[in-house]
Amino acid sequence: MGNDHKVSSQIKRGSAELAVLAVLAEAPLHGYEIAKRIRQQTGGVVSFDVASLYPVLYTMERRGWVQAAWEEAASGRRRRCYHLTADGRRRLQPLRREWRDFFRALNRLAGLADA
Amino acid sequence: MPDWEQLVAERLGHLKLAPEERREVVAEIAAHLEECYQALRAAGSPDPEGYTLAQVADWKALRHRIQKSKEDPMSFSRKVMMPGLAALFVAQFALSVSLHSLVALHGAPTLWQFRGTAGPLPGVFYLPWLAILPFAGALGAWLARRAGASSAQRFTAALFPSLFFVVVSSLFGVIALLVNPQRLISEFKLANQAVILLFWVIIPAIACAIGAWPFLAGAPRQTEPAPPTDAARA
Repeated sequence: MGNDHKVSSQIKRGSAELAVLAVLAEAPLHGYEIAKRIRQQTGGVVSFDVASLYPVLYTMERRGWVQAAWEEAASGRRRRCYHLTADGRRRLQPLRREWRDFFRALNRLAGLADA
Repeated sequence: MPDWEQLVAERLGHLKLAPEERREVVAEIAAHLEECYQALRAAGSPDPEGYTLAQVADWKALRHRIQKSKEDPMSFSRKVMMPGLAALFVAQFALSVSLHSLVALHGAPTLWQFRGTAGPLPGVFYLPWLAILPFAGALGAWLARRAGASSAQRFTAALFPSLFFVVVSSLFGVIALLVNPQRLISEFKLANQAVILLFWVIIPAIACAIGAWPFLAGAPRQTEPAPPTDAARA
């Protein structure tokens, strides 16, 4: 198996990044909404609470993958809304590929698709 | 309904961030918890506050993770190393000019006659260099403050010219110990080491600290734009 097929050692750490970047690729969202979308779209299998979400968001913001701005909702409540930057989109593509490779490799190993 | 901002501010404790950035984090997390609380209440939860707060099992750990995530990995280099190296450069430049003046006036052999306070060295070489050190220390502390460093980091940057001699003398000591340990031990004189320490580390450190003093107080320069203060409140 060549190096191209080797799964990066960081792939597990990238799961949170993938989840957040993937939902932000659909639309700009604030923190609560990001967590809600991830929970809904994964059927509750993947979930983020305050303690797990914000460190990820702040790290991604520092790296320039997302940008945040305060916005006022229709209810009058102010919330910090995140949107994906061009760097974030560039990061999302290889991340998706790595995860696809990872699950294909696991599937070959354990026959997950048939399970 | 609980005051979520106050609750989050109390539980997060002292986040080591710029004040505006800290307010922004508190407001954002409070807004998130408030939405959770409202959603749970609307869904008829028996204890919406309890369930909302259960999201954060360890606030101290969350504080640590937030600080780490906000921290620039180049922060130490930008806040301490670069200002410290600038101070060191000024000090070393002054030292080389002093040395050059000494050699020009008294000849190269004079360099080997230094015994702390004897000979022409103090007037021509040591004292002018010492007079420059407060300015070098001030430069280090000022640059560190501009980079957003804390008071301790500014002080460290200011002390680079004297720390340099600690590092250099330690290196020479280690090399001498490896090359010829017996000679090092037999020639070791505590009084000489104390004089070297006093004149090349302690007094220079005091001179640098005097120059740095006006720049140690005060908040670091803000690098982030100020967020709204009422962010989480409707």
